[in-house]
Amino acid sequence: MDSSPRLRSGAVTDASEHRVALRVRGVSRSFADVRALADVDLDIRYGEVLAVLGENGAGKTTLMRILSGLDQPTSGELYRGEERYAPRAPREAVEHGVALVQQHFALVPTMTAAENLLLFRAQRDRRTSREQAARDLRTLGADLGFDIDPGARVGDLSVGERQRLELLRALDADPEVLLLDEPTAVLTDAEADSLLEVIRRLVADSGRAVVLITHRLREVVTGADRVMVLRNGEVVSPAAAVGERDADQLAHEMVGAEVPAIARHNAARGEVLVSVDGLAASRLRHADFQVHRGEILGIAGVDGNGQVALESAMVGLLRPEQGRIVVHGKELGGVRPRERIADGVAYIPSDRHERAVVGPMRCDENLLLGRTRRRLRPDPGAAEVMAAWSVKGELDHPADSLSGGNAQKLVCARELRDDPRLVLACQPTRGLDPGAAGQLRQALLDFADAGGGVVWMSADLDELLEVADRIRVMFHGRLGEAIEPPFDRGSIGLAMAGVS
Amino acid sequence: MTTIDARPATPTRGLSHATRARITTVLTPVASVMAALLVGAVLIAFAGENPVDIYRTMFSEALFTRSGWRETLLQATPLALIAVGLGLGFRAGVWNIGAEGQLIVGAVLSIAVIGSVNDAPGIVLIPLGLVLGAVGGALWASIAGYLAVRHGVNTVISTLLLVFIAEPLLNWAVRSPLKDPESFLPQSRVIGNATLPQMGFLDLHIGFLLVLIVVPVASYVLRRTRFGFLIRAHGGNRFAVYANETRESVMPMAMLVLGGSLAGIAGFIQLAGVQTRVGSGTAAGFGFTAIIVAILGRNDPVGVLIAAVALSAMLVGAEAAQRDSGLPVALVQSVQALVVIFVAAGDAVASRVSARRARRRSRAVLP
Ligand SMILES: Nc1ncnc2c1ncn2[C@@H]1O[C@H](COP(=O)(O)OP(=O)(O)OP(=O)(O)O)[C@@H](O)[C@H]1O
Ligand SMILES: [Mg+2]
Repeated sequence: MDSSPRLRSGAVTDASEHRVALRVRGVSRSFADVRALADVDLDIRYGEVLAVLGENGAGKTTLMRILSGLDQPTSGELYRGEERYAPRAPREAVEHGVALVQQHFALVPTMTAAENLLLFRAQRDRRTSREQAARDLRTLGADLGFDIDPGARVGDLSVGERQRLELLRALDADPEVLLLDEPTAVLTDAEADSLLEVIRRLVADSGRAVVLITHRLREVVTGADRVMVLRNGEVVSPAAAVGERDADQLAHEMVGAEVPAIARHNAARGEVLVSVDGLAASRLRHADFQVHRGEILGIAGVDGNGQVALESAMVGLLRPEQGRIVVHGKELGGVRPRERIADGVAYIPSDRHERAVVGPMRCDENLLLGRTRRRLRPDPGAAEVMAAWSVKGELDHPADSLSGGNAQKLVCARELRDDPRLVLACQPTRGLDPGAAGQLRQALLDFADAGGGVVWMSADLDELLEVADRIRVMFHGRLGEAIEPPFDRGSIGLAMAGVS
Repeated sequence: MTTIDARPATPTRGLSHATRARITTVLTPVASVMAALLVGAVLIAFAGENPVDIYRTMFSEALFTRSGWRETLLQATPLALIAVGLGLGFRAGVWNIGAEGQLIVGAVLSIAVIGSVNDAPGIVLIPLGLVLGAVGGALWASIAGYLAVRHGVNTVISTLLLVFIAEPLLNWAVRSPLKDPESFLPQSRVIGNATLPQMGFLDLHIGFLLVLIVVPVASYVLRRTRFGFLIRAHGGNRFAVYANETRESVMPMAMLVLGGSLAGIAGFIQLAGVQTRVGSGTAAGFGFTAIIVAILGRNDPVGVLIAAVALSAMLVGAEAAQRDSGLPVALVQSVQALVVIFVAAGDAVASRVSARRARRRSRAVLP
C-alpha cells in the first residue's frame, strides 16, 4: 500500500504540522448487506479537534466503534503512529491511549459516580479503594473545572452532569486520542459551550487528539479545527480546516442540498385540548397549563428541572401527587397506555431507548408498538412510512441495528402516523441531523396547522423560538408564566437559568 | 484502492443475517449435547464401565424398542407441557422456576374435587380435571405474581420458595384429608373414572395429544398475536411495553399464570394418565427438569417439544443402562447437568466465534 497520505490537503497546511495520532486507511464495515462504512481514509492529528459530520446513519458511530475496539472493520486497517493498530476490545484501545465517550450513556445508574469510575478501569487497576477513586474523580474534575460529587448516585445526576462524568471516565486513563460521539446532543447551548471550552483546553494544554461528532454545526464552527463529512459511509469531504466556512455551508456539504426553511401556515387556535391543573409529581412541584387545538406550547428548560416528571405524569407512567390532567374532556390519570394512544395522545419520549423502542424486535414490529391488534398482520404501509421519514434501515432487521438518529425517526414516524390529536414531543430533535430535524419540525408544524395540539419540551431554546406559539419556562419543578411572541431570547434564557 | 480490498460490495452473499443466526440457534444446543455426552463418556469410563456399551444400550432402548418409545413420549408429555409455559415466560423475561410446586397444587386440587364426585363419567371428569389442574397451578403461581407486582419480590425466589411450601402441603394432604382409607400408604384414592384413555399402537394416554395441540397453538400465539408480541416486547424492553401497551403488572402476572396453568395441567395428566393417585411420587422433578427443557428448546414451543423428546429419550435410555449394567443414577444426572452447562457455554462460544470471524475477515486483507 502506498505510504504517502492520500488525503487531498488543500487548506490543511497549518494543520498538517501536527503529528498523526491515528491513521485510518481504506476502512469498510458491512453488516450483512448494509454497507455502513466504505473505504474510509482519515488522519487524526495531535493538538487538534476534528469534527466528523454526517447525516443520520452516515457511519459516524460505526467508525468510532471501530477506532475504540468495540467493533472490527470488514476490511482496511488502522495505524497508531507507525504501528499497526487493531484493537479487539475497548480495553486494548485504552492501552493504546484511545478512549471513547459513546453516543448513549454507558454509566450504571444505581452506582455512585466514583464506583462508575472504578467499574470502567482495567481489571488490575480496579483494586484501588473507593476513597481513592473518589479522590481521583475530584482531581480529574478540578483540572477541568467540573464540580462533581463522587458519592452521588448516577441516577440522580442531571444529564449535563452525567455527560461530564462520561468525559471524566474516558479521561481517567489519560488517553492521547479522545473520541466523543455526540457529547453535546443532550446539553443546552450554554452547557455545550462550556463542554467545548473544556475540550479545547484538553487539546491546547496537553496536545491530545480529539474527534468530535455533533449535529450542531455551530459547534463545528466554534470548536473544531478541521472537519470531515461522511455520507452513506463514504468520505464526501475529506478532513480540511474549518477555516471560513459557516454553518450553512457545512450543512450544504453534509446534506448535499439546502436545508429548507420551516414554515407555519395557519396559527388559528381552537378549543382547549389539554388542561393541566395544579399538577405535582416527584420532581415536578407545580404545573398549570392549557393547550388549545392548533397550538404548539413550548416548554423550555435545562434538563433536570422536572421535565421527565411532567412527561411521565402526562402519559400515566407517574402517578400525580396532586392535580389532574384532562385531555379532550377525559382525565388522563390512570389511563392505560393503549387507551391513551387510542384516544389520540402520541408520545415522543426524551429517552427513546428506554420508552419507545424494543431493540431486539424488528423495525416493522416497532412500528406497531402500542398499536397492535389482537391478531398481528403484516403491515403493508410499513415500508412506505419508513421511506417517508427516510429511516435508513431494513424492515426485518432488529431496531438495535439502527443508528441513533434513525431510531428516533422511526419513533416519530410511528407516533405521527395515525392522526393523533395531541403530540407530547420531548426533546424530539435530539440526535437528528439538520435535514431530519427540519423534517420533524415541519411535520409537527403541519400537524398544528391541521388543528392538532403539541406540547414541545426542549432544552434547545432556538428551536422553541422557531416553532412555539407560546413558551413556558420550567425551573426547579415549577412552570413559569406563559410568554407570548414576540419572544425575547435574552429574558427567556435568564428564566431558564432561574433569574426572573 | 486496488491494493487492499478486492471484496465485492456485498460481502455476505448466500446466507442472510437472519438465516445464519437461526442456524446458530439450532446448532449450538445440538453441539452442546454432543459435547456433554462426550464428557459423560469420560465419566462413565472413570466409573469403570465401557462408555460405548452404555451409550449403545441407552440409544437402542430409547430408539429401537416399542416400550422405549412409549416411555419416552410418556415422560416428554409433562416436560413439554410445562416447558412451553416456562419458555414463554422466559421469553418475556419473567422467571418462574417453581413449576414443580404448581404441578403439585394442580394435581392435589384435581384429586380433591374429583375424589368427591367420582361416579361421574370420564367425559365430564377429564375436562373438569384439566380445568382444576390449571386453576390450582395458576393460583399457586399467582401468589408469586402478587408478591412481585405489589411488593417487588423477585419471582426467582418466590416461585422456588413456593415449591417448598407445596411439598409439605402435599404430604399433609395425602396423610390426612385426601388419604385413601383403604390404603396403608400415604396416598390419595385412585382417580377412577377420570383415568385418561389410551390410544394408538403405543398405548399412550391421550395427554400426549394435548402436547400436540399446545405446541402449535403456543407457537402461533407467540408469532401472530398481540399477546405473543407483548411477550417478545416485554422480554426485549419492558419499559417500552409499560409506556405503550400495558401497565406494569399485566405481563408478569400473565406469564406466571400461564406457566402455572400448564404446570397444573401436567400435574393432572400425570395423575390421571400415569400415577392414578396423588402420593409422594407426584413430585417427580418434572417441574425442575422442564427448566432445562425450556433452555435447551430456546424458549420456543417447537424447540421445546424437540428438546423434551430428546431429553426424555436420554433419561429412558439411562434407566435402561442402569437396569442392565448398573450405571449409577448420579452419573445420569451429572450428564444432564453437563448438557445445561454446555448449552450455556455454547452460546458464549458461538458469539465469540462470530466476532472472531469478523476479525479474520479484516486480517485476511493485510497486504
Ligand atoms: N449492528 C448493526 N447491524 C446492522 N446494521 C447496522 C449495525 N450497526 C450499524 N448499522 C448500520 O450502519 C449504518 C451507520 O450507522 P451509524 O450508527 O454509524 O450511523 P451514525 O452516523 O452514527 O448516525 P446517527 O447520527 O444517527 O448516530 C446505519 O445504516 C445502520 O443501520
Ligand atoms: Mg451515531
